[in-house]
Amino acid sequence: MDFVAITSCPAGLAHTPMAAKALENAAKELGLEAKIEQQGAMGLKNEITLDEAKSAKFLLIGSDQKIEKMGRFEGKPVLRVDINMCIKKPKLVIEKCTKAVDAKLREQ
Amino acid sequence: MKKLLSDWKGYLMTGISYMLPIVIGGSLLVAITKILGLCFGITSFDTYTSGVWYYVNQVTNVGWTAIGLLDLVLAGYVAYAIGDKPALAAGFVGGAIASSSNTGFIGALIAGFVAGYSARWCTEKIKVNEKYESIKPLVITPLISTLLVAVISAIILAVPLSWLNKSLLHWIKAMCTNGTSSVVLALVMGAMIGSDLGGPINKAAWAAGNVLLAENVYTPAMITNVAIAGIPLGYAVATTLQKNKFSSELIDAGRSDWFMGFIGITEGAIPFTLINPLKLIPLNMIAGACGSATAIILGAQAKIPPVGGIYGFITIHNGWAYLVGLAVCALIIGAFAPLLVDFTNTAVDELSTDDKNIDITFE
Repeated sequence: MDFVAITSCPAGLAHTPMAAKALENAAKELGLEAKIEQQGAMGLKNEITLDEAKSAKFLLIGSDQKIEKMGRFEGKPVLRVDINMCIKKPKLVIEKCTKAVDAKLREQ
Repeated sequence: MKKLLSDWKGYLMTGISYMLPIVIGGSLLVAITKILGLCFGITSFDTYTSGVWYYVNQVTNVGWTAIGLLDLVLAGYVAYAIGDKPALAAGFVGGAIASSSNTGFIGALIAGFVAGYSARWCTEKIKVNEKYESIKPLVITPLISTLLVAVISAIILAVPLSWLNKSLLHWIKAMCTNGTSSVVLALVMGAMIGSDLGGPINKAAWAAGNVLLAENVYTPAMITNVAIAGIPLGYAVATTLQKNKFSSELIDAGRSDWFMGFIGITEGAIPFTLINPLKLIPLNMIAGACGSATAIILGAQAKIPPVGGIYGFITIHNGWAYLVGLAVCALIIGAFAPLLVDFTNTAVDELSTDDKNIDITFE
């Protein structure tokens, strides 16, 4: 898994699924394997399992909200991005995050 | 500093997102029973001590009980957003104190923050012997965070905050009841909703309206509801009336905008607005402002917490005025958007490879 992502917005009805879909399509176009979880009004949708979390290189959070079940991602690089950016420029968001994570991992 | 403010906004939004279902559930119960009564010519259930209307009245009262929980839930989940599960207890307590000491939403928010940060501090900073690890979430954190909330909310801030709360509410209430200033309020809040469609300005207006519900001040929320539903409806109207002026993707988006407008989600207008934000954002703002102001001028009043969307009119006194406001907002967009912008070419602009304004932060 190249990365996992979680989207969440205050009402959990509009931005959450829009951003999730945008990221999913962008990952596909970039040839990356990704799983996008939605934390919206219906609770957790397309939930990331512990195994998937472990195999992912990083977690991308498209939200300024509280994210549930962060315990799954202990030790992973976690990035936060504005959810609007995930909708507007999903590809660039993924690329920029991947680069930032690579740079950070190299430092360590 | 910027990080801190955006954190705080996130905490506030989390609190509100947990509060909303309670507002909606409660208000709809009150509204539906009231309408049921009105259908049979009954304006007050208080005189009924038995029979069907007595039970209907019980349902109304349950609705009010739900509405009464707003401070509690707001404070609890603001605390939860900051300090996770251990903060929830002190947050609830703080919210209950805010209700009982009349410090209202300001008191609830402060209590939520105190509870959240103190619980987080306990979790991170207090070290106990591993053998007694379980004592921390079970005893130490609830004790310290609740005690701090008690000292700060019930002792130190109770008097000044309740004064501040009262004066602030007095001012807002005066603004909502005075004819001219309520129209100004509607123009400003309606335009804010239309400005960035779910971004910070939109959410600031929306949050203000929602937080004030806990104070029995319902007009601002009603004002925002008009623009919130009217703007996506505008694009639904535009795509329905002038199909040939839109690409097939946008016609699909327009179809879902009927639904978005019906339940009241401004974000439905985003796919359209993105085509040409420079022209469409001002249009959205003007439409939102005019729609909200129309509803106010025609005498729409919120006497119980208003529910958003088209069906929200049942919670509004003079609901027809609310509907006319919606129609005005929708028709302005429906008429002018296709004139101003060419919607037939909708290739998403990801050509610009400028990622400078994408802010990413590591946690």
